[in-house]
Amino acid sequence: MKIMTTGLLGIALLLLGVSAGSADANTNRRFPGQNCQPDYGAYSTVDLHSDGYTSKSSSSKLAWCPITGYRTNTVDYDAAYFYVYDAISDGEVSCQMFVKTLTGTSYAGVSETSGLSNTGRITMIFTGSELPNNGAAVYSVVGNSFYCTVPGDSPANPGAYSNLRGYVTNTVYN
Amino acid sequence: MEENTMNRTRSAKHVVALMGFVAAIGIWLTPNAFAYDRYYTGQACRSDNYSLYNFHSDGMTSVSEAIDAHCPIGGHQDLTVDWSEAVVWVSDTNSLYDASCSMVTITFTGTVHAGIAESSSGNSGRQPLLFTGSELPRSGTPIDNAIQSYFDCTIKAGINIRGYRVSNSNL
Repeated sequence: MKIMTTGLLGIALLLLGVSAGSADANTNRRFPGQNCQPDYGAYSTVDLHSDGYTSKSSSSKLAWCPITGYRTNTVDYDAAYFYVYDAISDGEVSCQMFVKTLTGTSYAGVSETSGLSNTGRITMIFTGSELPNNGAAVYSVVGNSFYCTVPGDSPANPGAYSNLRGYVTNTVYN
Repeated sequence: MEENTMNRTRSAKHVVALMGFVAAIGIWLTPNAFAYDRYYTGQACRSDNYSLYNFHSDGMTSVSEAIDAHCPIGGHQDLTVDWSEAVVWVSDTNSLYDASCSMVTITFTGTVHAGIAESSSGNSGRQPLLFTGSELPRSGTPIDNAIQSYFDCTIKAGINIRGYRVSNSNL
């Protein structure tokens, strides 16, 4: 009886271990625009507020928006979404996702843009070939971010600034 | 007939016991069997030295002088942390200066648990800085009310922080 109990306990431990180590299917991870950071030289133009990240500049600036907190170093994206506010009629926000592996291989997705109109809230949707490695799995990942170009204000919309409000990733693993 | 049935039952019990024993040993021997990994990208790091660093596809780099970078560790569900292992991946192409990082956890009451710093060596390219045991905050034993955790790194030109991972026994 003791042997049997020990055995069952061991199997229970095994199942618990498998359960703890297994990945959940398709998880959304949400990140606020305030996570984004300016590239070199743009730090003085940044304004973080309740609606996210704004580059208050007269020229376009680059921002880096990190993707963090995964429980595995394999990424396998099915979709990603970037929420922006477009306030400029002759400039557009553009964002692109990339993944970097331990050996230095880069996988860049395709840029999405908010369009040349000041239409306010826009969701840029990334699917299929717009995602790094065409949405297929990438292993041994050490770096993963969006980088975005945020336009400055323009003669058409003086004093108006677009902003990065937040972003979501949808992954097979979490 | 009855004896055959008893023998089969006894054999089945032995098989179950053996499987269980092997499973238990396997879990015992597997490091971090119940630890949860979380991965972070180098672009999540930040510094007060605003004009002295930049970001790129391979993380965060100092532009010239040595800068103090903080790389936040977030996303855990439990306020008690129990670090079992951590890694910072750096790329070092500076033959004069090394990258140096230590892991820090601070509690709600303000107690600072700082681990021991790990450094890269020479211009040795891509390499991991591995933190285990006494190199972790509070030597890898549980810390309650842990409201802040981060890596505190010093980097100079030619050195970049690519990404980092922590293993925590609590979600």
